[in-house]
Amino acid sequence: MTKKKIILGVAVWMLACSALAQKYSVHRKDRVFLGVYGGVNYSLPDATEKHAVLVSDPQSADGLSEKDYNKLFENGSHQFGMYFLYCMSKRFSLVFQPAYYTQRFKYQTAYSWRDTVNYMDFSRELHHDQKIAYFSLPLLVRWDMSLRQVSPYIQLGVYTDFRHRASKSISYDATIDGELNEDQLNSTSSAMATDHFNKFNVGLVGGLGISYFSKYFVIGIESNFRYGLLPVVNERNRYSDQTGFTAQYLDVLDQLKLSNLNFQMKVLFPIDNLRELNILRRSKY
Amino acid sequence: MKTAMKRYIQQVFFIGAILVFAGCKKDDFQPEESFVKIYNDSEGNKKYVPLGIQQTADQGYVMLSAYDGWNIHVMKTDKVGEVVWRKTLPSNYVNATNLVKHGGSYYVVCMDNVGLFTYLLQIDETSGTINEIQNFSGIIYPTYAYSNGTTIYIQNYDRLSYKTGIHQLDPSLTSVAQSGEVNIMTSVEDRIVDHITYDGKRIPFFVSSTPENDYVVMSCFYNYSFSLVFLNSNLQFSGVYNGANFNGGVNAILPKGNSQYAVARFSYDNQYFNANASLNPTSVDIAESISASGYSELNPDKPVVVRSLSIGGVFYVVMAASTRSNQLLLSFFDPYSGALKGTKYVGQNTPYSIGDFTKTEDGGLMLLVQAKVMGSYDRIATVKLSDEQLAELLE
Repeated sequence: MTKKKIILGVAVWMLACSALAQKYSVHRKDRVFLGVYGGVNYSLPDATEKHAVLVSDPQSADGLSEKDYNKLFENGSHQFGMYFLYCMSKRFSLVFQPAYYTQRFKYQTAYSWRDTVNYMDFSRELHHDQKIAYFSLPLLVRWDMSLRQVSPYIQLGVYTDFRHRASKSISYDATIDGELNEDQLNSTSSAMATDHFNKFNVGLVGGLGISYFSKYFVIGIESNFRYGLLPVVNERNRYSDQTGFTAQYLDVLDQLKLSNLNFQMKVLFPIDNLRELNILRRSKY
Repeated sequence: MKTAMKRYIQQVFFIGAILVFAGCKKDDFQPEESFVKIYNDSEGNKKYVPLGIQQTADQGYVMLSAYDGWNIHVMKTDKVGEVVWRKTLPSNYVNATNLVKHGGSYYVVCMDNVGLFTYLLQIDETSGTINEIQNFSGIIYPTYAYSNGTTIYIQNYDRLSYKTGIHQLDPSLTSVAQSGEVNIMTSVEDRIVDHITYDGKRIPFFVSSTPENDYVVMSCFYNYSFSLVFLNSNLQFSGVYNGANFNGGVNAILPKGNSQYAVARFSYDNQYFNANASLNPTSVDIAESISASGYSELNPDKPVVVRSLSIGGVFYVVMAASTRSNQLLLSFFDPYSGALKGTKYVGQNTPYSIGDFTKTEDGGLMLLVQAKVMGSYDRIATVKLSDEQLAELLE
């Protein structure tokens, strides 16, 4: 549903921009723009190593303690930051987007025990929610497909993330059905899990977007896919139990690489050559 | 403007490259250095009590535990705590005392469920088979086994004569070389039965020997009390520190040589430690006379384990005990002054009780604990602490 809304929004935005203004071409070579941006992002964890606290016995049902990671669009979070655009030529630009970037991923575990003597079976389904906040420094090269006011573009680059903090919470119920049952629901408070995650990450980022250049500002939307190259979980602190959840909720993090899809809006202003703020030239055609 | 911008861009790329290389630096951490494992049994009515752990030659671990009362469970794991094999022994083998390493092999002393006599079993860690070496029909109610590296001793309770026995096995481990005994003067069979069936209070029996091998020291029933008894090398009574009736005594000891001992003693509801106590093996005294510091947070009904451990080239006496709030408390003492050098609490929110611990070849510590999973199920768990974690807490 969220995905459909975003695609629809992008389409409407592109149509509106196209319809509104194609009278001018944009003179942006050597221009510098500064602005802000923000949006939502969705994380896709890739478990490269599985880890578990509970070692299953031969009689237990297979896979009960395996983590079941939530799908991309169930791992939503947000980001905001500064947007710096330097147009090196008519079409090529350099983009720097320092941001406070929060990523989130969720997974489920489930356990059950049967008591054939006292008839006291026990089941527990746990929903784990992790949030990691980074100071993110993406640096991209952007290629604009058009010189007109409405300009779609693609961009490619790298990013470095510096972990700020991380937290984790667990909600659980007594029915193993993949859902949170409100009538049985219990939740832990959010526990700091900062040391369970590595301080640094680096990755590749690529995306596309569309900008609308008005007389004095630029607005636009874009979407990027970020592919994290380094593992995000700190091996050394995996069992340090900073959250206190290790034995109580039989929880330990797998080793992960985090990829991320974001959608964001931006507003930019030209900051150089203040006497010539008008960046538009009347189009010859 | 353009030149400045280009310079700025170059600087950004340069700093970015440094950060990438710094972040890609490989951590030399190995998974076996630190982990927590809880060994599940999906049958909710089963209850496990860990008894002993030893590191094997392949860096794995062999663990002994009791389940559902006095039944016996043996498990081998690899160096990261994953199960290699696990066995439950046939029902005639019950009441395993503890895990004994002797001559590079691992042994279990246990009891026949009907005849109450003693078995000596050998664990083949490679194949996962457990072989009966010998049964000792004259040793009833075994309570502890100990190896000083060359000799195995078995402590027992003789229900007919009301005596605690100590038996030294011959090198072939098939017969008793010599025996000794001390008189309890009264029947303690009810307490012994509670102990071996896990239906009541567990009694901290132990046997050890001095580094000089001139005395065997053991906690056992003696003279209407639970006492610390010294025996000479012929297993003849030498001296005693009597406990407060059956409500006090010594629950763990580490002989350090020259009559110096690290002692954990209890008196009613209190637990005391002294990492450098002088004990006279020929005196007759009371356990309460051994000076020691009280630890009000510790539960004296749970086992206490004392070992010496080298951390960063420095020797410490490590005492592991369980708190009343169900954490583990590791206390590190200077072996010469007895001064407390550091403590570490292990576990939070989930009840933990110490079963045993062992030093590992990588300089770490492997704790064998009982964990109450989901607040309901008593399961065997291991907590591996790395040498780095130990060094940090002693900085």
